[in-house]
Amino acid sequence: MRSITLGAAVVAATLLLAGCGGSTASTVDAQAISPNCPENAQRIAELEETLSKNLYGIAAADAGKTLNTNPKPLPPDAPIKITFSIEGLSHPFLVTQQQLAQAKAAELGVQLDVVSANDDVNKQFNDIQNAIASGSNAIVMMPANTQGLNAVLQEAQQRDIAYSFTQKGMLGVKPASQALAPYASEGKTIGEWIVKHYEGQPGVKVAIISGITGDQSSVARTSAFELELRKACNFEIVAEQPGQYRRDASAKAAESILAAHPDVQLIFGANDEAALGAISAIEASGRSGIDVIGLDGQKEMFDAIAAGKALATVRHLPTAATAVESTVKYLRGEPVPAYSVQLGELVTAEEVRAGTLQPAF
Amino acid sequence: MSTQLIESAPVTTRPASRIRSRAGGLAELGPIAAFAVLLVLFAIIAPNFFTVFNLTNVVRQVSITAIAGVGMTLIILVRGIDLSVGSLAALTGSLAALSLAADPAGHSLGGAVLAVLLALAVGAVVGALNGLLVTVAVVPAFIATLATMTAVRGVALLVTDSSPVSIPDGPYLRIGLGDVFGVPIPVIIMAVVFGLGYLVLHRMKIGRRIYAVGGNPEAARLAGIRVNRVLMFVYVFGGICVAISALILSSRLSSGQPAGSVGLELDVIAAVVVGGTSLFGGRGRLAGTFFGALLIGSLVNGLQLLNVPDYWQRIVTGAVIVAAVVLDRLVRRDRTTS
Repeated sequence: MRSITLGAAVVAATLLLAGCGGSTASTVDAQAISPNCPENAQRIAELEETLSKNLYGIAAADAGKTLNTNPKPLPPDAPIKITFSIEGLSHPFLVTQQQLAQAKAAELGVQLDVVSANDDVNKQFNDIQNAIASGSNAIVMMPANTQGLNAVLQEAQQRDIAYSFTQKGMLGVKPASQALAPYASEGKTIGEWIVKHYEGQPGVKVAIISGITGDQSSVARTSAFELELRKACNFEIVAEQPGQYRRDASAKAAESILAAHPDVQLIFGANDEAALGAISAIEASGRSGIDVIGLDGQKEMFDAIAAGKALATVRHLPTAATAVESTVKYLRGEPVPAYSVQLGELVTAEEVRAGTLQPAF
Repeated sequence: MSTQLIESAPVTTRPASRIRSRAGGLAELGPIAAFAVLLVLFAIIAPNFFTVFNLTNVVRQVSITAIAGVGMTLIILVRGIDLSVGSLAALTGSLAALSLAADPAGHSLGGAVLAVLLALAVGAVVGALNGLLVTVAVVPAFIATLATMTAVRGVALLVTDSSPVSIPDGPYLRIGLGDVFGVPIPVIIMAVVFGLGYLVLHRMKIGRRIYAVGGNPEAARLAGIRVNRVLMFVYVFGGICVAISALILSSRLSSGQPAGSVGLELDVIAAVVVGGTSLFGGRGRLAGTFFGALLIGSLVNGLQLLNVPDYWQRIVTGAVIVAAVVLDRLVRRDRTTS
């Protein structure tokens, strides 16, 4: 196990040296350790280290800074064919991504073929091989897994087929652009809001229900969130349990948290499903007065916020349209950002009541 | 073709070989004919289908299901089934990756050989476990392998901490990605495994016993065949075939995927059945399995080149599986009634 972690660290370090090192290092310097709570200094350094090696942390820090330009652009009026290799189509959010990609392609006048990997990385490998054979100019992909596609992406590169990532990315490869999900920015946004919300209250006890163990998106969300709280000094993280991003597993995690820490004041779910699981566990235990926050901005979370069961969430925006647009620009020879991150809006009772924001899915 | 060869050899004209010859001849043409039709159709309507690059890709992609299909054909021939294929592929691939990942700087040829042997050994052990459950514990194959499917997946997730294991650079990666004189190594491995399967089924005593046990287990037992030994053999052989598929799979993905290959067994069973092997045992051929796998693989490839939406790809694939099996049934009925 140690050697794998080491391998991942080497890949991440190489990537940092390759171009994004400067910006991340300066972020670490700028966010000087808070003088009020030296006991948090070590944890703050750890979290910043984690985020500097996390793809979504890197993306958030580098968004819009580094630019990539296609060394072999297509002639201005050449027809463009792009294959969108999506990890699956079994969730409404994925279907939304597909529709947005298709709409953007139609708007730009390019052909877009969509292939679904059905959550199987080997099928996605085949899909990309088939896309290369079909004569696509570029591949926009939402990888089913962070590992497993390097060989086929090298094959694409050798044939001068550009590829870019949307929503999820991979470390150790050189895509044209990455329109990634703003996981780190979302965690930071809700963390900042919580710090303001609890301003002046000492020793607020917080529990975190993370997503899938070791999953980069969950690490980005929870680390960025915790970082804001640690810097504010008036929070105490009493527990962190994985809930697999699923409601039932998160409810179980919340139950054990409530049993072990009856004095917990705030539960942060790494997604709305986790938050909704926490809410049902709180209701089942007959407790009240525990605040719950989540991320994603799904329909049921809007309802929970309206009912006063949850405090806030952040709308998770689809990324596929941006990815298609960047890819087309790249093919035409325009400089495109290596990372683009589109952060959704913070949603509290105020926004839900006003009806200004719609659920993300 | 092969049937005539065997029938001309006097040594093999025994009751069991008559069972085999009935499945031969015209019936064998079913999956080949279906594949030929599809090939011609896609060559005409699907752009870029009939290119060396694309067809090489298809055969390379198909090798994984086809190799596991060799073992599955033998298992289905004895009226068995193996649902643990996907889990076992995940476990053996992950274990190979773990042993290779010990040195992140890269692995040696010796390290690669060790990983291969480890995967094959674990494949054989899990195959033996399936065999023991079916023979000694007398659990129906469906339930026995359903249990190992679940448990083996658990082991795969346990040993890897449920995250993919990256394989560092080295000779192992050539298994799935390399070629020899332009022939992809997975295709060479597939040819060797099918060759071995052919020898087992048609040139060794165990082959006749497999057909006999599948045709009528009770009669086989009364004829003095040790049925349990035959069952043990096919499950162990099947486990090894799955491990070979897993070597190719993990090598092309440069990683062991403990959560991957979910449902691979169904793709493999589909290839075997489309290839004309009867789920009731005793009847079927390896050539059918090969063309069955090729038929399904090129169908998916061609539909993608035609830009058919995913949902429709699934519907068409399902329809083609049914059509191939029905066609096979009709061809056989024609033969038996005429």
